[in-house]
Amino acid sequence: MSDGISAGSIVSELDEKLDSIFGKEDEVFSFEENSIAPLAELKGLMLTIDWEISDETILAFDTEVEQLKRLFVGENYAPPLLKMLSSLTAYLKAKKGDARPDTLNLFQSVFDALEKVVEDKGLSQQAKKSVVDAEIQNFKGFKKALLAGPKSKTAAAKPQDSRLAHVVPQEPVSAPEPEFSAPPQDEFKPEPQGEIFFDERDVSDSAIEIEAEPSAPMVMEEPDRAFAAGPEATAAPQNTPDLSAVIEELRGYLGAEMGALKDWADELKREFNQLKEDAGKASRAVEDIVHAEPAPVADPSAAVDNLRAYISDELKTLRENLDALKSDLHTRIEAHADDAIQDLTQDNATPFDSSALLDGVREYLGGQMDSLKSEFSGLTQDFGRLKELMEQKESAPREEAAPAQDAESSASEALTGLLEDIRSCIGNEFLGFKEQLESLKTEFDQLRDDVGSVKSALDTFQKKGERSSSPFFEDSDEPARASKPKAAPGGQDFDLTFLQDSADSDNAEDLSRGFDDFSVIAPHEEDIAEIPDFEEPDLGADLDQTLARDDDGQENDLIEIYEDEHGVTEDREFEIFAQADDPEDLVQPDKEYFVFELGGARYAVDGRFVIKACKGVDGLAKKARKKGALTILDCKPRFSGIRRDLQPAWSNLSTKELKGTKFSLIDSGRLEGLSDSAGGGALFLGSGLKRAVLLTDDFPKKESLQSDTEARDALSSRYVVDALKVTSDNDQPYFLIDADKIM
Amino acid sequence: MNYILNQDAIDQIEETLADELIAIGVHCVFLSDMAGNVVASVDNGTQQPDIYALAALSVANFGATNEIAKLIGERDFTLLFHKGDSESIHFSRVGERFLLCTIFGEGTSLGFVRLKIADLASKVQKFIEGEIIEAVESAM
Amino acid sequence: MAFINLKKKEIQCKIVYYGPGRSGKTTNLEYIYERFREQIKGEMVTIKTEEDRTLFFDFLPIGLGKIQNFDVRIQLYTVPGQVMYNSTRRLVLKGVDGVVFVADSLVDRRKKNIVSLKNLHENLLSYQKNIFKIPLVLQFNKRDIGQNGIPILNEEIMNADLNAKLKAPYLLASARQGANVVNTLKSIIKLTVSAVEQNILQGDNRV
Repeated sequence: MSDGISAGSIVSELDEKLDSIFGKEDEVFSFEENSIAPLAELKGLMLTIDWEISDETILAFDTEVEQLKRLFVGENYAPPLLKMLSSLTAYLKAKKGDARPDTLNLFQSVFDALEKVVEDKGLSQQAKKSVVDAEIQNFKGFKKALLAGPKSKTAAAKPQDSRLAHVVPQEPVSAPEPEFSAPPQDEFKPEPQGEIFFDERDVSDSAIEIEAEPSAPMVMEEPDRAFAAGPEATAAPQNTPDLSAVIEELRGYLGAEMGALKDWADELKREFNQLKEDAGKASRAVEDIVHAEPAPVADPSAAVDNLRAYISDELKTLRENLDALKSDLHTRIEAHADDAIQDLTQDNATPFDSSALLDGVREYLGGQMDSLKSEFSGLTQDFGRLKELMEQKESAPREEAAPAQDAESSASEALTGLLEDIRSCIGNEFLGFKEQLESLKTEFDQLRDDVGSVKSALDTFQKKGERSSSPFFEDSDEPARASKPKAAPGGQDFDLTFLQDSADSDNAEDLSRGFDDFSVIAPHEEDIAEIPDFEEPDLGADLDQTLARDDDGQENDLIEIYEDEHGVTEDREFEIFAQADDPEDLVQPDKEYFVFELGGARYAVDGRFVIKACKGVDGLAKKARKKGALTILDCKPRFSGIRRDLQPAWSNLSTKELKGTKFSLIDSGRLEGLSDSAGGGALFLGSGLKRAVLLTDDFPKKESLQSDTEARDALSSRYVVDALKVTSDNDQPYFLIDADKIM
Repeated sequence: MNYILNQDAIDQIEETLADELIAIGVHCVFLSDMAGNVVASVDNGTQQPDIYALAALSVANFGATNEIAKLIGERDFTLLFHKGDSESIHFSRVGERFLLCTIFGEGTSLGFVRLKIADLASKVQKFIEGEIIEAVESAM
Repeated sequence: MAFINLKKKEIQCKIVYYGPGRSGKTTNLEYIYERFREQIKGEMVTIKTEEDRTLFFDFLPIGLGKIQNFDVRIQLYTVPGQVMYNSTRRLVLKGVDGVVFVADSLVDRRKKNIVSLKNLHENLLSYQKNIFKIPLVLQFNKRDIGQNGIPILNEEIMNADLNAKLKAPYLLASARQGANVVNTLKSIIKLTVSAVEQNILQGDNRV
């Protein structure tokens, strides 16, 4: 070869040359295969929870789950499992020791599934899906068991009536004294009326504990539609027994208490009859004394004293009994009515027809009330008669004893005094008793109202239930991502208008140079002809098969299959990853706005539309209006680029690209004050392919804002779509400009 | 120290233990005093370990670990737990004079057991201390 | 096809960075351009869409200076990766002397890598070039993302998918961070220039 190229030597010289140009780079970069890492932390926390269930461990676990959720955004199989873990964590946190014992088993199984799905690279999509499906089934089963009813522990087990509770009182309602506790099982006779409410029910057991899990349905919300899981049974039968069980118990308890009250009323009646008798005896005794021959009686006062004492004692006891009964009944019924109402209002279960039951309950209560009332009036009458009797007796002896001797008159005076005493004593007691019964009546009215509100609460649920279904997983074949993303602009076909627009920019030069070079190295005809015949390369059936194979074994166009399965084009996926420098970036940032003043009003623009916010320079406004457009260089001769933290949405734009881009000036008629603005600042906006610049009075700044609903009503411009404010700020609101519309 | 506990009280304790611990899957639980006497015991029927021997050994074990704690500057250990392949045992002091030993298998989580025991240990302690009748030592 | 001007003593080679969309081909070039601006004589040309996707091609000329009295110039091209731009890709591949196949290590891109490789093979065939014989270096890119816990394909799987028959040299790289970008370039330049040299020797004095 006389042309100076010698075999082999060129390479070594090349080597040196390359090294001198590019320097020596480290031979091999080792990248840690960290794809296993993500779950290591979680696994550790799982073990910690297994050993210790406390607020700290639960919180740490939950935090890690949240972090992983962000990491796996856009994935198919990890997010639903992570959501399940979140639900379980919340449940565990709420219930602590009262959680179902198999909670942790479910935890473990979901976690194992997560491990499999994340770390097993060889697992096919089908297999992964079935793993997740299995966990969903487990989760559902768990939820069902939760909602199905009370735990295996029954109320009797709770040391409420046992003496342990006596030592350590469980509830504000202390265990009542033995005499007043709910009537023992065998003495409890069902009332003939209102039969539907009474059956041989163990009052002490079922009545006290109404087991419901108000927090569980809320905690267990699983709105994830990503999975084609079987539908949660939405039919009522699943949940009806639960609710009626609650009502049954409530009914039973109320009925029992009613019965107890009635018994007491009966007893009271008896007591009063007894008292009446005694009073009658007393009056007869007095009568006898009065009508008897004025024979000196052994000191009657002692007997009278005794009688008086006895009566007042009886009345006192009665009143005390009544008090106790009233307060007991009041507290317990109220507490349980409250509980029942609370439970029922929070339970998302589907409805059933409760009205008949509750009507019956109300009727029954009303009936009881009525009968009590009539008894009460009967007693009132009795008393009235007694009173009359007393009065008669009182007036009679005076007349007859007129001609009595001194001894007699003094005796009669004593007797008169006695009668007075008896009367006033009984009278007062009577009044007191009347008051008691009145307040008891009020209690009943209250109870009736409570039951009424329970009914209306149930009615509300009936209506709610008809409209909504309560599946925890909807049967859906829709892919994880709810909406198909828009195609990248300029990506569908060769849209080279971009090039034409920037004809006066640098790009065109480069472009032409590139083409020139390209043509320079185009091969000459002879060269092509001289290429030795390459044999048809044998790719081997393998490569073709490899290329054609996919997990389903179908030889379709792979792109189609891929997109079918994932329901997304690569655009969106990459957006997610490309915009993230660290996992934190995957979190949707809080909505930030750029705020500025214009014409005396304050405006805001969604940060996502802002490419750059610039301070104005002299003559900026004039220039802008003259040219009808601005470039960023007009504001900032030294254009350093986009600050990622300030305008993250635009961090993918290259500096070079933006340097020369013309932003058209937003028409001054669109906002008040725009035509007068001196250009103290400029806001460069972008939406899709549109580029526009807005002149502002001051330098636009970044701010976090929230909706100001009051000011929103005052909006008038078609470019202003909302009003926002800083939370604690009572100043003027910021008017949110629809950036897309105004450009 | 001699003391007397009513059968009634013992029944109450056993009932509580059953309802709180056996119900969550614990295999066997017993309460012993620091002398190694079994005060109350419940099991779920699947196994009947020799609780008398267990009680004596547990108390000794507990005493020894207590000394270890003191030697390393701790007042006592907050977790005393021995893990086995299929059965594990957990110890918890109840007051100054009693020890609660809980035996459970793999299906039950330690965290749960600890949570339950934390709850009921103080209750049981108060109860016992209320029910105990100190036998009067006859003056020597 | 390399252009060798014996009179002017110039050699020009064309190296194309190929691969599925968004795998990092342009990033490779950008990194080289940013880092070696002084050494590299030319300006980098990029023709991109709004969202930084290569619309037509990127182009970066590198002058290596004199090697054995010949002025060696390397021209680096990238192609658009999107499926729909195949005609452009074919066009840019015309006269290629060496190829860097930039594969995406993300788990979800596995199929795209394979499809793109198949596509390279077809396009080369249309120029009667043999993928098994052309200077080729594989770059498994985006390895850095694996450190953030995002699942990536491991080396074995990628090799099994793409390199089982080709048996080409490969490197693990992160174009964004610049890891192994230069090493990739050096390898392909070496391979390409030697191949060109071989051709010249075989073809004796052909220009």
